[in-house]
Amino acid sequence: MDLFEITPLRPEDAPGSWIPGLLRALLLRTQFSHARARVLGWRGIRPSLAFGECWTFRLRGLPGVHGLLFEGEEPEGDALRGEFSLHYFPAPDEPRAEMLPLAAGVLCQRPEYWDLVREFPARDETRELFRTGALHLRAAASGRSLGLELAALSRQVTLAPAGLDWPPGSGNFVVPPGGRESDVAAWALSLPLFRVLAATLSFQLGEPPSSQALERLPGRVRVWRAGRPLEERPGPDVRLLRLRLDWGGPQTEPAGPFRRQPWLESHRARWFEEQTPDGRDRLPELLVLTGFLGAGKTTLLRRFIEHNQQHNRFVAVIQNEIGAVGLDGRLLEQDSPVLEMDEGCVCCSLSGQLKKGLARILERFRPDVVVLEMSGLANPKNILAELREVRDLVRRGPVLAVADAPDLERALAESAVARDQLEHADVLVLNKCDLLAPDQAGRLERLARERNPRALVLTAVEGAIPFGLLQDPDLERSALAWDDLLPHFHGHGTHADEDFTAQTLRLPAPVDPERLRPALERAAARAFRIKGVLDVPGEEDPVLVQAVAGRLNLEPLPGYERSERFLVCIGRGLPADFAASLARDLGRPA
Amino acid sequence: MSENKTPFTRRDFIKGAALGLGLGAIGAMGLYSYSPMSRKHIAQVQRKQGDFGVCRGVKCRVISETSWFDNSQLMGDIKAAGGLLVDQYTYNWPPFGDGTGLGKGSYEKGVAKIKHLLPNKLEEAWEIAKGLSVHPDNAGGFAALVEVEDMDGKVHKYLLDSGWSYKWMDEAFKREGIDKMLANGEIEALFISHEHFDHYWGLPVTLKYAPNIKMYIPDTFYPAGLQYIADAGHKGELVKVKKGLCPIIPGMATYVFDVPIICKVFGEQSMYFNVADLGLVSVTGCCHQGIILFADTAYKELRYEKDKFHGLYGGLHISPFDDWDPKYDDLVIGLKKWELEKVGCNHCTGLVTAKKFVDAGYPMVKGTARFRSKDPNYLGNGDSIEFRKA
Repeated sequence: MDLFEITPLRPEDAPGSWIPGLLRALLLRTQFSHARARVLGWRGIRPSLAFGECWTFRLRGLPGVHGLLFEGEEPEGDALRGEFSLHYFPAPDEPRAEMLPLAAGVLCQRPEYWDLVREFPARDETRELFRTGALHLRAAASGRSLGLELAALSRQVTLAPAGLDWPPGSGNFVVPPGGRESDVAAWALSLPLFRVLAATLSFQLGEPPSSQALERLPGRVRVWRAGRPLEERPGPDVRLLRLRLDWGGPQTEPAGPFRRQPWLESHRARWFEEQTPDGRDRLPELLVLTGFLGAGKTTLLRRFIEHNQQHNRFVAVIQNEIGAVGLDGRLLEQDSPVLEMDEGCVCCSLSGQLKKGLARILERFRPDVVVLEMSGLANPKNILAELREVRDLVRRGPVLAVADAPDLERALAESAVARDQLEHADVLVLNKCDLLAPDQAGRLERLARERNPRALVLTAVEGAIPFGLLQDPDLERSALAWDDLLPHFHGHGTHADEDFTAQTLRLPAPVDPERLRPALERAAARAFRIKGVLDVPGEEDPVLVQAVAGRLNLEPLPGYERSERFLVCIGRGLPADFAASLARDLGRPA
Repeated sequence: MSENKTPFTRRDFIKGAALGLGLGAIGAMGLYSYSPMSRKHIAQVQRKQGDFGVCRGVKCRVISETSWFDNSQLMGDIKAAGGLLVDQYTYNWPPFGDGTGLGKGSYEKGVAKIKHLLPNKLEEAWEIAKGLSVHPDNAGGFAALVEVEDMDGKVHKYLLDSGWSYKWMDEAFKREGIDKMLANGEIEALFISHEHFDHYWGLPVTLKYAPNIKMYIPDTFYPAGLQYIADAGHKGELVKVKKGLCPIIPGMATYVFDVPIICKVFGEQSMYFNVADLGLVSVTGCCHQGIILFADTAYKELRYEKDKFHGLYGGLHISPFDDWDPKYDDLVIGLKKWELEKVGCNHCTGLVTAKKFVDAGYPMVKGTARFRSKDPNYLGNGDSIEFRKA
């Protein structure tokens, strides 16, 4: 092993301290393979410098947050030994929050609790009362060995022989005489962070620890009596436990209770596969995006792509477009590969093609996430037969439905496809909430929850949802919409049944700006959805046209390099000459 | 607890106290003792407020912010070559292509094909590299001209980064007149923010015009990157900036962050300016350390006018980590703490990020979307931004 592969910075070149930089490099490099970081147990990391070098973490399976604060480093022989304090901040409703020191228990219940946790070193209470152990990271100057040590009490206890009453002197005992002011299972709370850190070290170093040792020492308890300084005394049933792992030394056989720990396995690539037999680690996630026409799917998708880019994850998009010219793909393709399946709708005419298209996009681009954006008219139920076929290529992600909130009630009343989209979503985004009356949002949220109690319902403006929620453990639950629907597949209503048709009008020459808006407003009153790109004389950029449910929006589209100019009109029972009459309205030969 | 047979339970007390009591009320009973730890801790967090002088103003001109032209192609190559931890010199991207294909190259084999042509015959070198490389036409580059006016009114010119494609960067240098400034010795130094292909591999384009230019690089370049400085024909002084603050002239300093970056790069050098009567201005390549650590560091380490974070220019990565609260938005919270008065961002900054600045009420300087820059919400190629008290 060579620590300078992880950080090329030498201790002698690091003013101040070096160990925190080593830890940061280990954590950050682990994030570069996001899927592996998740298998190791990381569920969120927040670094902070403002009040000392510290991190807060969420780990798999724990409702609370761990904290780590750097407290200094010093030479030890030919090594550097860094010291960190380790903390656990339980969720306010965790039973263990009740047996924290009383002041900490109170803090947990305060509304600003999580904000205080984020910068926990800033205050005495958050820094001291949640502390569960000490962690040491010891690196040899040669870079050839590394040690990690955890020291924590089996229980961290403060006794109150005379009890504690509140208000003081009232006789109302919060802690009865002889009771415990606090009793925290400090070792058990510290060990999960140690375990994930140690597994991360084995993963990064490419080898398991060469030795491990557990020491059991007598522990102490604290005793509080009103008006007197805190005392410490030996606690008969309390132990101080020290667990030390070393990498890079002579190999010894793992012994004692620590034979099946992840840090003994995580240097092997196979271990990651074994942890996720369903391919969670290896396969990209497939997220299905549905939503009624004009609800804002593409806007949300652009945000989703940028969110992932910022976290070094790469998104590919498969979309199908009803109407001959795919517009959405062209809006997106500067950022992500887009495979368009034109001339129809994934759900009714592309049987067999999805698997081929998906395989192609995976082979060429190796994305971390694939979004299958379904035509606004697609019934999500109908895609499921195809999804069954692609299960060996991707891991199933949530079905996300975007709804135009102001238009939600009408869409649900009139369209079976819209009802199916809502009812079969894992995440439902009520978009365009800025257009709602103040009391309307809550009512629509309740309506959505009634229709689909299983879904996570979010309100949004311009598709801005907290995308981190899509990585949330709650959505890792086994019953996603995919599973729910697969057995029931028999073919459901399609948009053809609902008499939706699409007509495309090509506009190779610029359009008279005087006529543009009135003509589009008339057309938008009849067609459900109009979108396209056209040129207006005197404007440098092409104009993006979007109309949905009678609302028209025109905006410049800089950087759009395609030459096609067109409008696609989609609506129910459109007359056969709809596009032709729009052309006349725009002052063009039909 | 079973022994607790009191009129109110511990749970009731805690919930009630959370609403009513001040935080210190219980602690004040002497239950907890914080003092020894706190003293140690306070010593650690005190602001250093390092004084690096003051300047009259700073102006940045975008020579090129279009690092590459097709993100799908770039990410597809990185993923197919083995992912984000793979060494950038193995991709077989220009100018280090050796004809063996994606993921099979090396610095030594690649540079051997063109070394004899550096830095003067770049057209020829690029033609050779094109023939041997993967997706050569996707290469663009990042570079900016930074002009600092000192308190005496003298203007000092510097380059931040030297882009990627020899061809694209040479055209961009000519378009902005950088070629002449370099040849006349008007540009005092070249700062390389980090070793990434799009900021650094166009180094010979600068050296073609000014082989003796003083160079500042982070001290954490890997051996291949260091060798390229010599192979590209650099004859001037080379300063390897160690982690921490490096004052350049009064009111201008760089800061090297020890941060690992994708494609096996380590360390990023950012610029800070202390502008008279305005405050702190930062100029970044990509800000891979994340905007929060970047701002925290400035707050802790530097002393600046009015104790105010006035403006920034460059590429801005937000935190490289997923936060533990999915609803939390680093940037929105960060933006509340600062009082930025002028922001120009581009390159790796997303449009959504840019929009958050606007939503937070921070004025974003718009661009003109010329020379293959795509969106006027950004400062694009050929645009500029100035930070100076009028």
